[in-house]
Amino acid sequence: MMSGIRGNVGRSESMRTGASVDSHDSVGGGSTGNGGSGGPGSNVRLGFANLPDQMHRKAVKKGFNFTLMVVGESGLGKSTLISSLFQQDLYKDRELGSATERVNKTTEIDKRQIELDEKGVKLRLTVVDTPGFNDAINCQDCWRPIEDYIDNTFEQYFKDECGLNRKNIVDHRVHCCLYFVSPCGHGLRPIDVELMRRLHSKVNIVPIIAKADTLTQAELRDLKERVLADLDRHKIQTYRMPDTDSDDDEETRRQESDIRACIPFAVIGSNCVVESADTGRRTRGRQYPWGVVEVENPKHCDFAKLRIFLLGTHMQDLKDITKEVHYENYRAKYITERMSKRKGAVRDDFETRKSKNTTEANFEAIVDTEGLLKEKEDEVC
Amino acid sequence: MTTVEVMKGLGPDVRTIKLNGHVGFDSLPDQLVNKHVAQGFSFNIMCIGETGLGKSTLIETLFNQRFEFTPSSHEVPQVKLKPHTYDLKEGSVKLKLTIIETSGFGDQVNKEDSSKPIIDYINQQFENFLQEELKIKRSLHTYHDTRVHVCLYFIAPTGHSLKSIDMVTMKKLDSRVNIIPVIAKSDTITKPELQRFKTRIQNEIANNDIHIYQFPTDDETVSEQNSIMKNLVPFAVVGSSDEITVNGRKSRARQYPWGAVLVDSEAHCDFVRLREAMLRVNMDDLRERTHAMHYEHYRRQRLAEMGFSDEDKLSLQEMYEKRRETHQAELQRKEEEMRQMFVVRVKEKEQELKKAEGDLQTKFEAVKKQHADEKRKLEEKRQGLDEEIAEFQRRKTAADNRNNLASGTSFTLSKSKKK
Repeated sequence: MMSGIRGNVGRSESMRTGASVDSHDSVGGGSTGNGGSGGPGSNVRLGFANLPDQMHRKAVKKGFNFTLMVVGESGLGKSTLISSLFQQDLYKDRELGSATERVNKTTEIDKRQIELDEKGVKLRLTVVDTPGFNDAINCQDCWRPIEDYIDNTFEQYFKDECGLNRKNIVDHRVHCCLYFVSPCGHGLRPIDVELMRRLHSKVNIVPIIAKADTLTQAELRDLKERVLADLDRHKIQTYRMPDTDSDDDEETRRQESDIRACIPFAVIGSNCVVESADTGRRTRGRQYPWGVVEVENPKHCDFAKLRIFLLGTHMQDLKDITKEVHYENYRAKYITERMSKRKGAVRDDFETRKSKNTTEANFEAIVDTEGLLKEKEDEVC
Repeated sequence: MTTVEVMKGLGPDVRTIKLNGHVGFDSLPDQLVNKHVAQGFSFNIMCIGETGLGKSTLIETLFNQRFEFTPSSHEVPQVKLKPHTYDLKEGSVKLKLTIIETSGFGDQVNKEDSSKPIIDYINQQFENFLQEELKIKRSLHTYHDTRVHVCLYFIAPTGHSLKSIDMVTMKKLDSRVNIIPVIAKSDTITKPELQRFKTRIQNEIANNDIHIYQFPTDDETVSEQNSIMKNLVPFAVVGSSDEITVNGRKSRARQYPWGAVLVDSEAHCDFVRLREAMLRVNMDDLRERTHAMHYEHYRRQRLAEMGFSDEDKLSLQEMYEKRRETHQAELQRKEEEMRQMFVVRVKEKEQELKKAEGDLQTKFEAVKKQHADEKRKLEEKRQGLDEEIAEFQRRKTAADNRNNLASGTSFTLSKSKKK
């Protein structure tokens, strides 16, 4: 930061202190102008402390976009969870097929977009649903449409990036994939393992235990342990939260470690509003004859933590990892494949041409020498 | 003095008579029951459902016993069936209970062959019973009946509808066993959702012509209960073997942070009604149906395969005997054939051997003749030689004599005298 300052080097220390004091004031909007020359020793601001502020305003004006993919078999509450997370009912008009229709169903890709606005910050959210996954009797290759979709989005972005007009690139890349694990089970099933193995190098996978109101506390702990052990055993790399910086305060660090300990998140979703038992407030929940489950109560499930994780703290990190790691991996692989293919074609071409030339040249050479010899002989004779 | 009237008419030549006193044959049902109770009953339950749906827990809850089932993993490559047999006693009634559980159902990526092991098992039990029935010396009353009496099909609580594998499997099994579908882990579904789910499943079952077990409504004593049960199918159950204390009483329940689900409460789940329907009210009907409907169906198919038919107007036993006789005759004929072949072969071999013997004989004769020839030749030679020796001796003596005459005095025969 100091390297950008010119002149008045002698008074650098006072300037520094001046600048830091100012930065506290200027956060929260309203630029306080470029730092002019104030009096000697007083708070002379250069003003670059407003950089974050400028970035903030620009980002708010531009708006954010986020693509979320949800994968899991039918009936695990994916749509309900999305509705609960974003407080919108995205799937009101959805029709569910009967069992006969599902016998031979293939996985489909269903994209829905909404625009959300909170305190002036606009979010363009795309939710990619995968109805039909694991519905058919024979689910061989039912993950292929999902894999192909992610590859296509990467390819599209790559082509756009290489294009001439790069002003209006729309980023369709999938930033996060929520994988729903069934709570009725002793861990991951073979099809869960297969899908995650194919996707973990292309997208950030966040495993989620669906319909967690099926499990008691002890059962939930057991299942989480088993899911983590299964993920380890099959060497599946789910999204790992970045380590906290040492200068973050206690609160954030505690929150982070809380969230990290919770993965996989055990969630409950609901489209209905119920009255809470202890506070009497009306929140989203499920009403049973034996009690009321509150979706946002951290003692009942990890929904609140998931929301903080996804929307509050790690959305940008998810996007960054997608951009820097998954996309770059794809790009490198894509380019080397294309290069090797082209190289192979070119090399073959070159080889064939070269070989033809040499034989012809040789032949001609031979013919020439023979001709020469004949001439010589004639001369002699 | 009791008057008993026989109500049902039996036929034109059967008269119904009013009894004027107590005869005593009203104790017949009691006699029947006593006999059966002394023998003991057997009941076989099959539980089909995905891994982790709580099948073992529900059985333990139903019979209020810990059965030591081991939970299976998800990586079983093929569906397997595990039967376990237990002896239970309630009051003075003995029950031989067999629980057959599927492991690995619904776990594979390709679930097309999931129902085959199940169908094979059911057919095997029917086959065993059929074999026992067809034996000449049979002991049906001490036979341990292993035919599956009821199949509890566990449906996952998705809240939407049946899964494709549920429909396909139930369709394949509905003609072989009594199916009672249950919704497992139903404490994850709220009451309104449950009603919608049940209606949806009932519609799907009806639309696809799946014949699940219908509780009998022809007997007045149970028809009312059974018609209520019919509307409750599929039963939404919750299983638990853990007990917690609620209101001072210990009861089986599942404890959540938001409340406790009491297994024995009718307001929380249909467990009590399932137990009543299956064990208290209709257990004998289930056994009856398995024998009268499903077993007969299997038997008919099987015997048709074997070649029997009803049109020959012969009883099964006679047909069987006839079959057996033809089979025996067949066997005998084959034996004869084999014997003939054996004899022919033996003859051939004998001839061969004889020829060989003859050959040997001729060879021997030839050799002997040769031998005799040689001997004769040798004899002749010897004779010739003997004659020569004799000649030589004569000549020698003649020469000697001449010498003796010539010299007169010397009797020395000089050897050096050469001839």
